[in-house]
Amino acid sequence: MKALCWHGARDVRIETVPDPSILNPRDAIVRVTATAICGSDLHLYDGVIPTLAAGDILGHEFMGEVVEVGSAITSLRPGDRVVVPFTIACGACGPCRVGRWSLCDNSNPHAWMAEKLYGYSASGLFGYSHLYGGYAGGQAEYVRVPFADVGPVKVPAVLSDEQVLFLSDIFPTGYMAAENCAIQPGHVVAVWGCGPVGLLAVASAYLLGAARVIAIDRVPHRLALAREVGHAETINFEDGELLERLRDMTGGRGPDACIDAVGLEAHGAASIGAYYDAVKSRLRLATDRLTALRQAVMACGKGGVVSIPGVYGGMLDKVPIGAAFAKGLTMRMGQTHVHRYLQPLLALIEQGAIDPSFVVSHRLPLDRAPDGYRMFLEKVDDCTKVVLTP
Amino acid sequence: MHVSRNMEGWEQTISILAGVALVAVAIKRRKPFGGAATAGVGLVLRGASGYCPVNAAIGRRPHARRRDDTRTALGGPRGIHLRESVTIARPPADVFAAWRDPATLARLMPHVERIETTGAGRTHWVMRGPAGITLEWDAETIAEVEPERIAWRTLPGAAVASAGSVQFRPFGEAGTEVHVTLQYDPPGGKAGAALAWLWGDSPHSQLREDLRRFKAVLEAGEAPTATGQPAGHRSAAFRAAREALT
Ligand SMILES: NC(=O)c1ccc[n+]([C@@H]2O[C@H](COP(=O)([O-])OP(=O)(O)OC[C@H]3O[C@@H](n4cnc5c(N)ncnc54)[C@H](O)[C@@H]3O)[C@@H](O)[C@H]2O)c1
Ligand SMILES: [Zn+2]
Ligand SMILES: [Zn+2]
Repeated sequence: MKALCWHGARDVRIETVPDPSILNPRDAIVRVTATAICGSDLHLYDGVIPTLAAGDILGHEFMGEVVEVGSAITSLRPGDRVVVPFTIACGACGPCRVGRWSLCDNSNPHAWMAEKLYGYSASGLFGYSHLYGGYAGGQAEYVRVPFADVGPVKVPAVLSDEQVLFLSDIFPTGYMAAENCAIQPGHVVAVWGCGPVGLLAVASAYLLGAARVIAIDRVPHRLALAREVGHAETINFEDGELLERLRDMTGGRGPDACIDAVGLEAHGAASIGAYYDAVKSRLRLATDRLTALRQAVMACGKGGVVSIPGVYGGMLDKVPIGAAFAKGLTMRMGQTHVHRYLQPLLALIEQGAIDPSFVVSHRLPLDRAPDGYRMFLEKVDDCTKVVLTP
Repeated sequence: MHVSRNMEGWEQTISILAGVALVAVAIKRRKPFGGAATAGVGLVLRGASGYCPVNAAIGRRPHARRRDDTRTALGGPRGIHLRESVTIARPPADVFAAWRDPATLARLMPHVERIETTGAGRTHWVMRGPAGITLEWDAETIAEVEPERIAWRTLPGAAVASAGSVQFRPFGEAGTEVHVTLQYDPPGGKAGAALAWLWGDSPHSQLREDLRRFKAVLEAGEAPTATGQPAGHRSAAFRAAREALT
């Protein structure tokens, strides 16, 4: 089959590789009909997430048709059309039983690596480095899906691939980011990043009852989407004085919640902090850049929540923890517990309460995935989200 | 791999436990036997646990040293001491029963060639190492309290003298904390080399991985794997590293 393989920073290639096969009784094989490139893939593309190996197949947002199931699978049959969560979860361990699916104890075969770095290991993920299990990803014609009896959700034929594809990651991610804000009537939510995750966080914040949402980015067409489709007020952070503007827009209170939908590769607006991060990560003294996170903590109003769907992988420096402490902030973060949101969010899509496909800007054949990565990274041609079809 | 399936529960128990004990033996002789560092680690671990399976089972009288006798090789502060624990979302009775199940053994110990019953509470183990080397030893259960605790030791003549215990403590509504304590006398020579090949050079991480698989099999019905999945063109270094691991 054809698959998108990583070969180093900014070097991904379509290769012909062996077809996947059933390796465990709870596996299924899915023929991929649609797959997307995620902001998280850009961190791999840029080589800032450790433990990728040349030849690894990327991709964690995908859906398709079940073509084969393992001996223990009774809930799925060949022919079923499913969306697959990017987090791999067994459904039976302590974390899974309380709904913390992305913290599954039993799905990362390389848990020892994560334990060395983080103390304990989270769940395995598709196509997201050996640290997260070394699972082959779904930017391919076929993919092996472990624990297929708890992950994949069957989707009705009336909904198109693009309408349901983002149940695999970014819609639940945006939604959980907003849910973590504990939104109350009258609340103002500020969202850093108007990529697909930020845009869906904006939409979700309104679904969860926010009075106002303020979206922050520097890419004009993304800000336009946040304004026109998301109904957010927007700020281009390159215009400067971000914190003062947020203060003015909230009657001097600051936002009740701040969402960092940017993550470890934030762009700095020529601040001392951004320069410091760039130097440090070049010297390998720190791994992550955190302009957006710093701003979110500083901007957040007293007693507020900083919700962090943006991915971080390593060490941070100059985190304003004193500000978080002084203002009594709550910080919530982590990989999305995707399984938890599949049914409720599918219901919202079916009801027409939201159509997450508004983020899609480019549709390409799988063969052109390397172009898709480049365009999505450079945000050229108004690129917001790339969907690939094998 | 071949595992004999015609054994009774208690025989399985001994076998599995002796096997798990030996998993811990995957060490090259880095430190002189009985050295201060080893003794110190042993004392700290024993002090922390408040329980020494060997002492509990055999007393503490000093003996002339014989390395194949658990009493002398492992008594007091001697030998290497390991502790590892894991929490499993199944009640103690289930976890205890699984520990005695031959299917569990087969999943935990890929290099076991055969296990024979040799007498009351005793088993004979054969494991396959590199280049046709086999490792053999006898083991016996020295305590078994269902569903709380099991302790075992190897018998004189073992390639590696070892002893250990596992405790199953109820956790929450229907969970179990599994606490394993192991002691062993690190071997040199052929046996040591064969064991190092079998289990890599970190006995503690091997023990942790075995318990992780045990937990996964009990909770999820299978241990996760990414081995055998497709990939694009691998570098020579990657292929060499993978070969070294298999
Ligand atoms: N937690 C999860 O489970 C999960 C799931 C999916 C994605 N993510 C993460 O969410 C983040 C966003 O994903 P995406 O697909 O939307 O990525 P993306 O790269 O398309 O979007 C990031 C956006 O942030 C903007 N940005 C950069 N620096 C900024 C700054 N200082 N202030 C404000 N905006 C800034 C960029 O211009 C861009 O539009 C990534 O870190 C991704 O890894 C996390
Ligand atoms: Zn993603
Ligand atoms: Zn789980």
